[in-house]
Amino acid sequence: MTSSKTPTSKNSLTSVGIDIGTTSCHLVFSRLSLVNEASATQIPRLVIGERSVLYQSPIFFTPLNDDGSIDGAAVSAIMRSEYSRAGFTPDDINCGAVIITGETARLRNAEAVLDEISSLAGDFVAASAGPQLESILAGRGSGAFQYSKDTGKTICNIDIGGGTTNIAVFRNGALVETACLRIGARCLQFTKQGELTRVSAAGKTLIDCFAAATSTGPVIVTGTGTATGNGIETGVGAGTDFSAYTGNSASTAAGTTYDIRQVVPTNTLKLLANDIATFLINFVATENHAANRSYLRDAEVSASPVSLLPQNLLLGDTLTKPFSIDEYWLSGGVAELMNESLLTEKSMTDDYFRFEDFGCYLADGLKHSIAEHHLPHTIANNPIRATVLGAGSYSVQLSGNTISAGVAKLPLKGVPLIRPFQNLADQINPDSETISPLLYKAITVHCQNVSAKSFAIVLHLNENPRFEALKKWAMTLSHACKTNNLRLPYIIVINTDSAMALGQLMQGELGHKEVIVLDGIDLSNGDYIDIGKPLSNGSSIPVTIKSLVFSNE
Amino acid sequence: MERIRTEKETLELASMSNATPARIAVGRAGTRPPSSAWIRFRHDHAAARDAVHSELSEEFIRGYAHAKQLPVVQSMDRDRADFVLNPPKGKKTTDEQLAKIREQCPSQQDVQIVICDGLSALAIESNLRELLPMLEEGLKIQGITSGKPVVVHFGRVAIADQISHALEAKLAINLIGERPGLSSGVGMSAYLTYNPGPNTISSDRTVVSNIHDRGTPPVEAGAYIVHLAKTILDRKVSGVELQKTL
Repeated sequence: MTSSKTPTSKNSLTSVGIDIGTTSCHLVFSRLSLVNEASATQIPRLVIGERSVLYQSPIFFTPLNDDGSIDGAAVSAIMRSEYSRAGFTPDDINCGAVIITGETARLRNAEAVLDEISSLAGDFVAASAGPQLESILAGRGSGAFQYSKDTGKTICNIDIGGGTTNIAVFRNGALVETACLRIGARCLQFTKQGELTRVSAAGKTLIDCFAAATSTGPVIVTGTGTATGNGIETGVGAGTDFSAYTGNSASTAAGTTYDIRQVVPTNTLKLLANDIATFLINFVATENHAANRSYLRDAEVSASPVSLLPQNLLLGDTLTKPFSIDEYWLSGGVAELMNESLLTEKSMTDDYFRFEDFGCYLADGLKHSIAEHHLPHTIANNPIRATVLGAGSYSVQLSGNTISAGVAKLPLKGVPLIRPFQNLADQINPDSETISPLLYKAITVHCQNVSAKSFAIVLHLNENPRFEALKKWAMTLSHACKTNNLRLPYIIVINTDSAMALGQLMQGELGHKEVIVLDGIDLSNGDYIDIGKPLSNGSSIPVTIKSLVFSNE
Repeated sequence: MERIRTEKETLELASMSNATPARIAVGRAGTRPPSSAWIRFRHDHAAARDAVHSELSEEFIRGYAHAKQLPVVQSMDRDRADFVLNPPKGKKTTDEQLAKIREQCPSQQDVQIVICDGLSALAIESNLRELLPMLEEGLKIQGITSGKPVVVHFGRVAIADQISHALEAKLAINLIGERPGLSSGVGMSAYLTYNPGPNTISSDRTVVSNIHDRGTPPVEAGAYIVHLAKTILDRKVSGVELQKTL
């Protein structure tokens, strides 16, 4: 059956990405055009075609309360004025994501901040994606993903912001792995004159970590004994001649403690930045095949700090898969600073504290470390906006086009994904005695009151089910949902191209239409799903998959 | 200069090949395709030719159609060769056959299902057993009445209009074997026609094509046809005119 491609569908989605980071916040509006990829005689297959940016806001400093938490009202006011500047109202927005990143201290009131801006976000905007998805979005927004797809290369995108470093590895246009570290420009904070004002918990951990791991390199340790507990101490590790960095060969003091309000010598900061940068590069590279990390053998640090990676630096899982990186892509606020010229004597004293943090030093450290290891690298086109561009353009997926949405009221937000039947992927004859208790168990892990909220049940089958098997699943799932008294509508996400069939059969079993069955969605590692309103032709539903909303800590 | 593909190139080519059933990245041996690719091409071409000449098997007629008590009729064509050579004859059946159908099938239903071998009887044999139960059950769940499906030897698309018109059905659904291609000899199509009859023309039909395990799986296609049938019956229009309302 041959036929020409049908013309582009007139549909498009307007998407917003809002990034509220440790240091800066900003937004971007994009248009996602919807294209029917199927030929005229086939079932329509809507996909997101072109993504175009409609408006980018300036970068604002994130307004903070006195206690260091985010000032939700002020953020909301900024976003509101940007909406009107761009000529959008919340009603114009179909999808997108609000992402709040940063260190724990600032996330204390993240939920409250989200409440403040939720009225702006429109009907279907995912709130905070979680560290894994943020890593992916940054890699998408920086262009690393597309580059990997176009060239077939393995690309590691490193997005370094104020509070976190988000790492995503793509190979041939497919995600290999992600990781997130609590390393960012704000690990040290200063006054504009360069007086130390704060060392974050992660900054302290890093400094301690280098002190423990290094036998030949410079050692900087936080002063554990200082009264403030926030002081920074440069000390001497075993066999370290610290005088090389102070320029004072006579100095043999056991340690020099820098307290809050003191100026830390530039060289000390520079060395610390180099150490952090090398640590970052090693963190990604150490997981490589031995052949691809030869430069590690030459590294100054004899005991790899990675082996001592303190758990509290890591948000979520570490990298585990083998890959060899062809190219490093850098994005985020710190990468933005890497475009500036290298540290000079003058700039060190003047400009380097203009953001009152460690960002400029870190940028130099990274440049230094990358040059030293001869790593092929690219700085993203629009580094600081990578995450927000990713959030605006890539957070949404379209479901398959043969789905079953019943009569449920949409959108539904933040629905937990549960996977009760993981060992039943090849089950063609499921029975209620097995299915029902498994479902109950999976739900009660989340909450004791089974009917309190909606859950999306993931059904993963090894192959397209035949009619008899699908009918059995429809019967047992309907029975299990009913006997466990699940909240309506029942939501099923199936991996095979069977959603419409399963939905119709379940409606038949249940005698009502409050069933949503979706397919064609990449759920990898997702914890929650937002289900949007069906697109105008009703054949597809936009969804957003999120990992844990706020990491526990 | 001859050289061996790098691992990266192999991966990239694999991802392109996986995106299409077309014969890309097969390589070459001198100036001709490699034997494996050439043999596969000949095999697929032979399979397509076989599909065109295939007939509904004895096993299918006895084991499925008769077991389900579906009436089995024949178009004006005498045999397969007649069918292939004289397309118009496959679009109609005789008055005697129509009388037999009227005798065995309830009339004035919402939907009349017709099953034709068309240009690939193999397509019917590989997909119908999965698609038909979903279609019938789905229609029932939606409260759409459908009588008894009719099986036609040597049938083309339009024959469903004649049969459904004779049975006064509102909607004709013709499940028919597609003209085989080099990527699949077992693709099935469904043609849906609202208010079918002697005046029906091609643009009155809504079609769902590419139904097979590697295209739209037959069970899901069954559910989609139910969805389409409901839309068509609600809007009282099919084909190009339906497309305009979507």
